[in-house]
Amino acid sequence: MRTVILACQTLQDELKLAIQRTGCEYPVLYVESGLHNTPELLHKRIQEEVDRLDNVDLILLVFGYCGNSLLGIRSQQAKMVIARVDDCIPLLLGSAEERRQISKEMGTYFITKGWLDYENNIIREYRRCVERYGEGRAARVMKIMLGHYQRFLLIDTGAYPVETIAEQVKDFAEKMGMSHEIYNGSTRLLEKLLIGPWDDEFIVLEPGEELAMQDICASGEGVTGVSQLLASSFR
Amino acid sequence: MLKIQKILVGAMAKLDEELVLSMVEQGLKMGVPPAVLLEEVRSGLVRVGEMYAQGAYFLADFIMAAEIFREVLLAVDHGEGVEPLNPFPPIIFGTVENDIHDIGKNITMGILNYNGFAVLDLGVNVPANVFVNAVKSNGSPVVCLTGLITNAYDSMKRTVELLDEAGLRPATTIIIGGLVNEKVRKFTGADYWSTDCGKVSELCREIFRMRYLERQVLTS
Repeated sequence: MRTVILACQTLQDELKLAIQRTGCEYPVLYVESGLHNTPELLHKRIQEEVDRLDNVDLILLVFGYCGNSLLGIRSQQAKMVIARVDDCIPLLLGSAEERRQISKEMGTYFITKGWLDYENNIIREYRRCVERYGEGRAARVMKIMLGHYQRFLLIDTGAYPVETIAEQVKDFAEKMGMSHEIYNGSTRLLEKLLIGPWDDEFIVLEPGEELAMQDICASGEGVTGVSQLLASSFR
Repeated sequence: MLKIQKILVGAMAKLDEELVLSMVEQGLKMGVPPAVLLEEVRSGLVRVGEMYAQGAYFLADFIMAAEIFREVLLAVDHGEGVEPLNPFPPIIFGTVENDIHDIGKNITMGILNYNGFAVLDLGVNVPANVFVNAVKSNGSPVVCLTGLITNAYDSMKRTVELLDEAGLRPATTIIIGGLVNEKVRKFTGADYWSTDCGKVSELCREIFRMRYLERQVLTS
Protein backbone atom coordinates (compact mmCIF):
# COMPACT_ATOMS: atom_id res chain seq x y z
CA MET A 1 0.00 0.00 0.00
CA ARG A 2 1.53 3.31 -1.10
CA THR A 3 0.66 5.85 1.58
CA VAL A 4 1.17 9.60 1.84
CA ILE A 5 0.48 11.96 4.74
CA LEU A 6 -0.99 15.34 3.84
CA ALA A 7 -0.83 17.65 6.84
CA CYS A 8 -1.28 21.18 8.09
CA GLN A 9 2.06 22.83 8.82
CA THR A 10 0.79 24.06 12.18
CA LEU A 11 0.73 20.43 13.38
CA GLN A 12 4.28 19.71 12.22
CA ASP A 13 5.92 19.30 15.65
CA GLU A 14 3.26 16.92 16.95
CA LEU A 15 3.10 14.93 13.71
CA LYS A 16 6.86 14.42 13.73
CA LEU A 17 6.62 13.10 17.28
CA ALA A 18 3.76 10.74 16.34
CA ILE A 19 5.76 9.50 13.34
CA GLN A 20 8.76 8.89 15.53
CA ARG A 21 6.65 7.04 18.11
CA THR A 22 4.87 4.84 15.59
CA GLY A 23 7.90 4.33 13.37
CA CYS A 24 5.85 4.80 10.23
CA GLU A 25 7.87 6.11 7.33
CA TYR A 26 5.35 7.54 4.94
CA PRO A 27 6.29 10.70 3.06
CA VAL A 28 4.73 13.88 4.44
CA LEU A 29 3.44 16.84 2.43
CA TYR A 30 2.65 20.01 4.31
CA VAL A 31 0.05 22.60 3.41
CA GLU A 32 1.04 26.06 4.60
CA SER A 33 -0.53 27.39 7.81
CA GLY A 34 -2.91 30.30 8.16
CA LEU A 35 -5.36 29.11 5.54
CA HIS A 36 -8.03 28.04 8.02
CA ASN A 37 -8.82 31.71 8.34
CA THR A 38 -10.21 31.45 4.83
CA PRO A 39 -11.78 27.97 4.68
CA GLU A 40 -12.51 28.22 0.93
CA LEU A 41 -8.82 28.77 0.28
CA LEU A 42 -7.78 25.93 2.57
CA HIS A 43 -10.28 23.66 0.80
CA LYS A 44 -8.80 24.63 -2.55
CA ARG A 45 -5.22 23.99 -1.41
CA ILE A 46 -6.02 20.58 0.12
CA GLN A 47 -7.91 19.50 -3.00
CA GLU A 48 -5.02 20.73 -5.20
CA GLU A 49 -2.53 18.65 -3.25
CA VAL A 50 -4.80 15.60 -3.31
CA ASP A 51 -5.25 15.95 -7.08
CA ARG A 52 -1.53 16.30 -7.61
CA LEU A 53 -0.77 12.98 -5.92
CA ASP A 54 -0.44 10.17 -8.38
CA ASN A 55 0.29 6.49 -7.89
CA VAL A 56 -0.87 6.58 -4.27
CA ASP A 57 -3.36 4.18 -2.62
CA LEU A 58 -3.92 5.89 0.69
CA ILE A 59 -3.85 9.52 1.88
CA LEU A 60 -3.86 10.27 5.60
CA LEU A 61 -5.20 13.78 6.10
CA VAL A 62 -3.86 15.51 9.21
CA PHE A 63 -6.27 18.43 9.44
CA GLY A 64 -9.26 19.54 11.43
CA TYR A 65 -12.56 20.14 9.71
CA CYS A 66 -11.80 23.87 10.01
CA GLY A 67 -14.94 25.68 8.98
CA ASN A 68 -16.03 23.38 6.15
CA SER A 69 -12.62 23.35 4.51
CA LEU A 70 -12.75 19.55 4.20
CA LEU A 71 -16.33 19.50 2.94
CA GLY A 72 -16.45 17.99 -0.55
CA ILE A 73 -12.80 16.84 -0.53
CA ARG A 74 -12.22 13.69 -2.58
CA SER A 75 -9.60 11.67 -4.37
CA GLN A 76 -10.28 9.82 -7.59
CA GLN A 77 -7.65 7.16 -6.98
CA ALA A 78 -6.81 6.94 -3.33
CA LYS A 79 -8.62 6.03 -0.18
CA MET A 80 -8.52 8.85 2.40
CA VAL A 81 -8.64 8.78 6.18
CA ILE A 82 -9.52 11.82 8.31
CA ALA A 83 -9.97 12.07 12.07
CA ARG A 84 -13.55 12.89 13.05
CA VAL A 85 -12.74 16.22 14.70
CA ASP A 86 -14.13 19.68 14.11
CA ASP A 87 -10.75 21.37 14.26
CA CYS A 88 -7.24 20.23 15.06
CA ILE A 89 -7.40 20.68 18.86
CA PRO A 90 -8.55 17.08 19.56
CA LEU A 91 -5.56 15.86 17.50
CA LEU A 92 -3.34 17.57 20.07
CA LEU A 93 -5.33 16.62 23.17
CA GLY A 94 -5.65 12.98 22.21
CA SER A 95 -9.40 12.76 21.72
CA ALA A 96 -12.57 14.65 20.94
CA GLU A 97 -13.89 13.67 24.37
CA GLU A 98 -10.98 15.37 26.11
CA ARG A 99 -11.71 18.52 24.19
CA ARG A 100 -15.39 18.28 25.06
CA GLN A 101 -14.65 18.03 28.78
CA ILE A 102 -12.18 20.93 28.84
CA SER A 103 -14.46 23.23 26.88
CA LYS A 104 -17.38 22.38 29.14
CA GLU A 105 -15.48 23.80 32.10
CA MET A 106 -15.22 27.26 30.54
CA GLY A 107 -14.63 29.09 27.26
CA THR A 108 -11.09 27.95 26.46
CA TYR A 109 -8.66 29.33 23.91
CA PHE A 110 -6.14 26.64 23.01
CA ILE A 111 -2.55 27.43 22.08
CA THR A 112 0.44 25.41 20.89
CA LYS A 113 3.88 26.40 19.64
CA GLY A 114 2.84 25.62 16.07
CA TRP A 115 -0.02 28.03 16.50
CA LEU A 116 2.31 30.81 17.67
CA ASP A 117 5.02 30.07 15.09
CA TYR A 118 2.99 29.60 11.97
CA GLU A 119 -0.40 31.17 12.40
CA ASN A 120 -1.36 34.80 12.31
CA ASN A 121 -2.32 34.35 15.93
CA ILE A 122 -4.03 36.57 18.45
CA ILE A 123 -0.86 37.55 20.31
CA ARG A 124 0.76 38.71 17.06
CA GLU A 125 -2.44 40.54 16.19
CA TYR A 126 -2.44 42.23 19.60
CA ARG A 127 1.10 43.50 18.99
CA ARG A 128 0.12 44.86 15.59
CA CYS A 129 -2.84 46.66 17.16
CA VAL A 130 -0.68 48.13 19.94
CA GLU A 131 1.53 49.65 17.25
CA ARG A 132 -1.38 50.98 15.27
CA TYR A 133 -3.83 52.07 17.96
CA GLY A 134 -1.86 52.20 21.20
CA GLU A 135 -2.04 49.83 24.14
CA GLY A 136 -5.39 50.92 25.57
CA ARG A 137 -7.37 50.62 22.34
CA ALA A 138 -5.57 47.41 21.35
CA ALA A 139 -6.54 45.80 24.65
CA ARG A 140 -10.13 46.99 24.20
CA VAL A 141 -10.39 45.44 20.74
CA MET A 142 -8.73 42.18 21.82
CA LYS A 143 -11.10 41.87 24.77
CA ILE A 144 -14.02 42.14 22.35
CA MET A 145 -12.44 39.50 20.12
CA LEU A 146 -11.89 37.16 23.02
CA GLY A 147 -15.45 37.87 24.15
CA HIS A 148 -16.56 34.83 26.04
CA TYR A 149 -13.22 33.09 26.47
CA GLN A 150 -12.07 32.84 30.05
CA ARG A 151 -8.74 31.07 29.84
CA PHE A 152 -5.78 30.23 27.65
CA LEU A 153 -4.76 26.62 27.66
CA LEU A 154 -1.25 25.90 26.46
CA ILE A 155 -1.17 22.32 25.25
CA ASP A 156 2.03 20.53 26.23
CA THR A 157 2.26 17.82 23.63
CA GLY A 158 5.78 16.80 24.58
CA ALA A 159 7.00 17.72 21.10
CA TYR A 160 9.06 20.67 22.38
CA PRO A 161 9.91 22.32 25.70
CA VAL A 162 6.73 24.17 26.55
CA GLU A 163 8.60 26.69 28.73
CA THR A 164 9.82 28.42 25.57
CA ILE A 165 6.38 29.87 24.97
CA ALA A 166 4.74 29.75 28.42
CA GLU A 167 5.90 33.21 29.41
CA GLN A 168 4.40 35.10 26.47
CA VAL A 169 1.09 33.26 26.84
CA LYS A 170 1.04 34.13 30.56
CA ASP A 171 1.79 37.80 29.82
CA PHE A 172 -0.95 38.05 27.26
CA ALA A 173 -3.49 36.22 29.42
CA GLU A 174 -2.81 38.62 32.28
CA LYS A 175 -3.23 41.64 30.01
CA MET A 176 -6.58 40.24 28.88
CA GLY A 177 -7.69 39.43 32.41
CA MET A 178 -7.91 35.73 31.56
CA SER A 179 -6.49 32.75 33.37
CA HIS A 180 -3.81 30.54 31.82
CA GLU A 181 -2.86 26.91 32.28
CA ILE A 182 -0.47 24.38 30.86
CA TYR A 183 -2.24 21.14 30.03
CA ASN A 184 -0.80 17.77 29.07
CA GLY A 185 -1.71 16.94 25.51
CA SER A 186 -1.41 13.60 23.76
CA THR A 187 -0.47 12.31 20.33
CA ARG A 188 -2.72 9.24 20.79
CA LEU A 189 -5.23 10.25 18.13
CA LEU A 190 -2.48 11.29 15.69
CA GLU A 191 -0.71 7.97 16.18
CA LYS A 192 -3.97 6.09 15.64
CA LEU A 193 -4.51 8.05 12.44
CA LEU A 194 -1.10 6.87 11.25
CA ILE A 195 -1.39 3.20 12.10
CA GLY A 196 -5.09 2.53 12.71
CA PRO A 197 -7.44 0.96 13.53
CA TRP A 198 -9.74 3.47 11.81
CA ASP A 199 -12.86 3.03 13.88
CA ASP A 200 -15.58 5.54 14.80
CA GLU A 201 -13.00 8.19 15.54
CA PHE A 202 -12.24 8.43 11.83
CA ILE A 203 -13.90 9.02 8.50
CA VAL A 204 -12.75 6.67 5.74
CA LEU A 205 -13.48 7.81 2.20
CA GLU A 206 -13.20 5.32 -0.63
CA PRO A 207 -11.75 6.52 -3.98
CA GLY A 208 -14.24 8.85 -5.67
CA GLU A 209 -16.24 9.37 -2.50
CA GLU A 210 -16.46 12.90 -1.16
CA LEU A 211 -16.67 14.15 2.41
CA ALA A 212 -20.29 15.11 3.14
CA MET A 213 -21.93 17.25 5.74
CA GLN A 214 -23.36 14.11 7.39
CA ASP A 215 -19.87 12.70 7.91
CA ILE A 216 -19.01 15.43 10.31
CA CYS A 217 -22.34 16.57 11.75
CA ALA A 218 -25.19 15.04 13.69
CA SER A 219 -23.05 12.09 14.68
CA GLY A 220 -22.89 13.29 18.25
CA GLU A 221 -19.36 11.95 18.27
CA GLY A 222 -16.25 13.98 18.04
CA VAL A 223 -17.83 17.25 17.12
CA THR A 224 -18.49 19.15 20.28
CA GLY A 225 -17.11 21.70 22.60
CA VAL A 226 -16.57 25.36 22.37
CA SER A 227 -13.89 25.90 19.81
CA GLN A 228 -11.57 28.69 19.01
CA LEU A 229 -12.26 29.44 15.45
CA LEU A 230 -11.54 33.04 16.08
CA ALA A 231 -10.24 31.87 12.86
CA SER A 232 -12.10 33.80 10.30
CA SER A 233 -10.70 36.61 12.27
CA PHE A 234 -7.19 37.05 11.13
CA ARG A 235 -7.34 36.57 7.35
CA MET B 1 -19.27 72.31 7.22
CA LEU B 2 -18.24 70.68 4.00
CA LYS B 3 -14.70 70.43 5.31
CA ILE B 4 -15.78 68.61 8.45
CA GLN B 5 -17.71 66.11 6.40
CA LYS B 6 -14.73 65.45 4.15
CA ILE B 7 -12.38 64.97 7.08
CA LEU B 8 -14.92 62.70 8.75
CA VAL B 9 -14.99 60.18 5.88
CA GLY B 10 -11.20 60.03 5.72
CA ALA B 11 -10.77 59.82 9.48
CA MET B 12 -13.21 56.92 9.65
CA ALA B 13 -11.48 55.14 6.78
CA LYS B 14 -8.18 55.54 8.66
CA LEU B 15 -9.87 54.42 11.90
CA ASP B 16 -8.67 57.52 13.70
CA GLU B 17 -10.98 57.42 16.69
CA GLU B 18 -9.98 60.75 18.20
CA LEU B 19 -10.35 62.67 14.96
CA VAL B 20 -13.71 61.09 14.13
CA LEU B 21 -15.17 61.89 17.53
CA SER B 22 -13.82 65.43 17.59
CA MET B 23 -15.18 66.10 14.08
CA VAL B 24 -18.59 64.78 15.10
CA GLU B 25 -18.55 66.94 18.19
CA GLN B 26 -17.59 70.03 16.20
CA GLY B 27 -20.19 69.25 13.56
CA LEU B 28 -22.93 68.99 16.18
CA LYS B 29 -21.83 72.31 17.70
CA MET B 30 -21.99 73.93 14.29
CA GLY B 31 -25.50 72.63 13.84
CA VAL B 32 -24.83 69.97 11.22
CA PRO B 33 -27.80 67.57 11.31
CA PRO B 34 -26.84 64.27 13.06
CA ALA B 35 -28.12 62.31 10.06
CA VAL B 36 -25.60 64.08 7.80
CA LEU B 37 -22.74 63.30 10.17
CA LEU B 38 -23.85 59.68 10.48
CA GLU B 39 -23.98 59.39 6.72
CA GLU B 40 -20.36 60.58 6.43
CA VAL B 41 -19.25 58.11 9.07
CA ARG B 42 -21.15 55.40 7.24
CA SER B 43 -19.33 56.29 3.99
CA GLY B 44 -16.08 55.89 5.88
CA LEU B 45 -17.28 52.52 7.16
CA VAL B 46 -17.94 51.38 3.60
CA ARG B 47 -14.31 52.19 2.79
CA VAL B 48 -13.19 50.20 5.83
CA GLY B 49 -15.26 47.28 4.53
CA GLU B 50 -13.61 47.55 1.11
CA MET B 51 -10.13 47.60 2.63
CA TYR B 52 -11.05 44.59 4.79
CA ALA B 53 -12.16 42.72 1.68
CA GLN B 54 -8.83 43.57 0.01
CA GLY B 55 -6.93 42.26 3.01
CA ALA B 56 -5.59 45.69 4.01
CA TYR B 57 -7.56 45.57 7.26
CA PHE B 58 -8.04 42.63 9.60
CA LEU B 59 -10.86 41.65 11.90
CA ALA B 60 -9.40 43.67 14.78
CA ASP B 61 -9.57 46.77 12.58
CA PHE B 62 -13.14 45.97 11.71
CA ILE B 63 -13.98 45.75 15.40
CA MET B 64 -12.22 49.08 15.93
CA ALA B 65 -14.48 50.54 13.22
CA ALA B 66 -17.57 49.13 14.93
CA GLU B 67 -16.38 50.61 18.23
CA ILE B 68 -15.88 54.06 16.70
CA PHE B 69 -19.27 53.80 15.06
CA ARG B 70 -20.88 52.89 18.38
CA GLU B 71 -19.31 55.92 20.03
CA VAL B 72 -20.47 58.19 17.23
CA LEU B 73 -24.02 56.91 17.72
CA LEU B 74 -23.72 57.64 21.44
CA ALA B 75 -22.41 61.15 20.75
CA VAL B 76 -25.18 61.87 18.28
CA ASP B 77 -28.16 60.66 20.26
CA HIS B 78 -26.72 61.20 23.75
CA GLY B 79 -26.96 57.52 24.54
CA GLU B 80 -30.68 57.27 24.11
CA GLY B 81 -30.36 54.60 21.47
CA VAL B 82 -31.68 54.63 17.93
CA GLU B 83 -35.47 54.54 17.85
CA PRO B 84 -36.70 51.61 15.80
CA LEU B 85 -38.22 53.09 12.68
CA ASN B 86 -40.68 50.33 11.99
CA PRO B 87 -43.58 49.01 14.03
CA PHE B 88 -42.68 45.35 13.51
CA PRO B 89 -41.64 42.80 16.12
CA PRO B 90 -37.91 42.51 16.76
CA ILE B 91 -35.52 40.35 14.79
CA ILE B 92 -34.37 37.56 17.11
CA PHE B 93 -30.61 37.11 17.21
CA GLY B 94 -28.36 34.62 18.95
CA THR B 95 -25.25 32.44 18.78
CA VAL B 96 -26.52 28.86 18.87
CA GLU B 97 -25.93 26.28 21.61
CA ASN B 98 -22.34 25.09 22.16
CA ASP B 99 -20.84 28.12 20.45
CA ILE B 100 -19.70 31.41 21.95
CA HIS B 101 -18.52 33.39 18.92
CA ASP B 102 -20.44 36.61 18.66
CA ILE B 103 -18.36 39.24 16.89
CA GLY B 104 -20.18 38.89 13.57
CA LYS B 105 -23.48 38.77 15.44
CA ASN B 106 -22.72 42.01 17.29
CA ILE B 107 -21.60 43.85 14.18
CA THR B 108 -24.67 42.69 12.25
CA MET B 109 -27.00 43.72 15.08
CA GLY B 110 -25.37 47.16 15.11
CA ILE B 111 -26.00 47.55 11.38
CA LEU B 112 -29.62 46.36 11.75
CA ASN B 113 -30.15 48.84 14.58
CA TYR B 114 -28.68 51.64 12.55
CA ASN B 115 -31.05 50.74 9.72
CA GLY B 116 -34.06 51.07 11.99
CA PHE B 117 -34.79 47.46 12.94
CA ALA B 118 -35.63 46.41 16.46
CA VAL B 119 -33.34 43.54 17.45
CA LEU B 120 -33.60 41.17 20.40
CA ASP B 121 -30.23 39.71 21.39
CA LEU B 122 -30.43 36.33 23.13
CA GLY B 123 -26.66 36.22 23.65
CA VAL B 124 -24.36 33.23 23.10
CA ASN B 125 -24.69 29.47 23.64
CA VAL B 126 -28.47 29.81 23.25
CA PRO B 127 -30.47 26.54 23.47
CA ALA B 128 -33.03 25.85 20.73
CA ASN B 129 -36.02 26.19 23.07
CA VAL B 130 -34.96 29.71 24.09
CA PHE B 131 -35.16 30.77 20.43
CA VAL B 132 -38.59 29.14 20.15
CA ASN B 133 -39.89 30.92 23.26
CA ALA B 134 -38.52 34.26 22.04
CA VAL B 135 -40.23 33.87 18.65
CA LYS B 136 -43.46 32.82 20.33
CA SER B 137 -43.61 35.66 22.84
CA ASN B 138 -42.51 38.39 20.42
CA GLY B 139 -44.23 37.19 17.25
CA SER B 140 -40.97 37.76 15.37
CA PRO B 141 -40.95 36.98 11.67
CA VAL B 142 -37.13 36.74 11.40
CA VAL B 143 -34.64 34.67 13.40
CA CYS B 144 -30.88 34.96 12.88
CA LEU B 145 -28.78 32.01 14.09
CA THR B 146 -25.02 32.41 14.12
CA GLY B 147 -22.10 30.10 14.79
CA LEU B 148 -18.49 29.57 13.77
CA ILE B 149 -17.69 26.03 14.81
CA THR B 150 -18.72 22.75 13.27
CA ASN B 151 -21.11 21.64 15.95
CA ALA B 152 -22.96 24.93 15.67
CA TYR B 153 -24.47 23.37 12.53
CA ASP B 154 -26.13 20.66 14.60
CA SER B 155 -27.49 23.28 16.98
CA MET B 156 -28.82 25.36 14.08
CA LYS B 157 -30.52 22.27 12.67
CA ARG B 158 -32.05 21.45 16.04
CA THR B 159 -33.35 25.01 16.42
CA VAL B 160 -34.98 24.94 12.98
CA GLU B 161 -36.56 21.57 13.81
CA LEU B 162 -37.90 22.82 17.13
CA LEU B 163 -39.41 25.91 15.50
CA ASP B 164 -41.08 23.52 13.08
CA GLU B 165 -42.40 21.28 15.86
CA ALA B 166 -43.80 24.36 17.63
CA GLY B 167 -45.73 25.20 14.46
CA LEU B 168 -43.82 28.48 14.05
CA ARG B 169 -41.82 27.58 10.97
CA PRO B 170 -44.17 28.90 8.22
CA ALA B 171 -44.40 32.31 9.88
CA THR B 172 -40.65 32.56 10.53
CA THR B 173 -37.80 33.28 8.16
CA ILE B 174 -34.55 31.79 9.40
CA ILE B 175 -31.19 33.28 8.42
CA ILE B 176 -27.93 31.60 9.40
CA GLY B 177 -24.59 33.38 9.59
CA GLY B 178 -20.98 32.71 10.54
CA LEU B 179 -18.95 30.02 8.79
CA VAL B 180 -21.84 28.93 6.61
CA ASN B 181 -22.57 28.20 2.96
CA GLU B 182 -25.29 26.68 0.81
CA LYS B 183 -24.46 23.16 2.00
CA VAL B 184 -24.80 24.23 5.62
CA ARG B 185 -28.07 26.00 4.84
CA LYS B 186 -29.47 22.82 3.30
CA PHE B 187 -28.23 20.72 6.20
CA THR B 188 -29.81 23.00 8.80
CA GLY B 189 -33.06 23.62 6.92
CA ALA B 190 -32.71 27.41 7.23
CA ASP B 191 -34.10 29.78 4.58
CA TYR B 192 -31.06 31.95 3.91
CA TRP B 193 -27.37 32.08 4.69
CA SER B 194 -25.02 35.03 4.76
CA THR B 195 -21.42 35.74 5.60
CA ASP B 196 -21.81 39.45 4.96
CA CYS B 197 -23.02 41.56 7.89
CA GLY B 198 -24.25 44.37 5.62
CA LYS B 199 -26.24 42.09 3.34
CA VAL B 200 -28.25 40.68 6.26
CA SER B 201 -29.76 44.11 6.72
CA GLU B 202 -30.80 44.31 3.05
CA LEU B 203 -32.20 40.79 3.29
CA CYS B 204 -34.22 41.65 6.40
CA ARG B 205 -35.64 44.73 4.73
CA GLU B 206 -36.76 42.57 1.82
CA ILE B 207 -38.26 39.92 4.11
CA PHE B 208 -40.19 42.50 6.13
CA ARG B 209 -41.39 44.15 2.94
CA MET B 210 -42.65 40.86 1.55
CA ARG B 211 -44.26 39.75 4.79
CA TYR B 212 -45.85 43.14 5.27
CA LEU B 213 -47.21 43.17 1.73
CA GLU B 214 -48.51 39.62 2.16
CA ARG B 215 -50.32 40.70 5.29
CA GLN B 216 -51.86 43.65 3.51
CA VAL B 217 -53.07 41.39 0.74
CA LEU B 218 -54.51 38.93 3.25
CA THR B 219 -56.37 41.58 5.24
CA SER B 220 -57.67 43.57 2.29
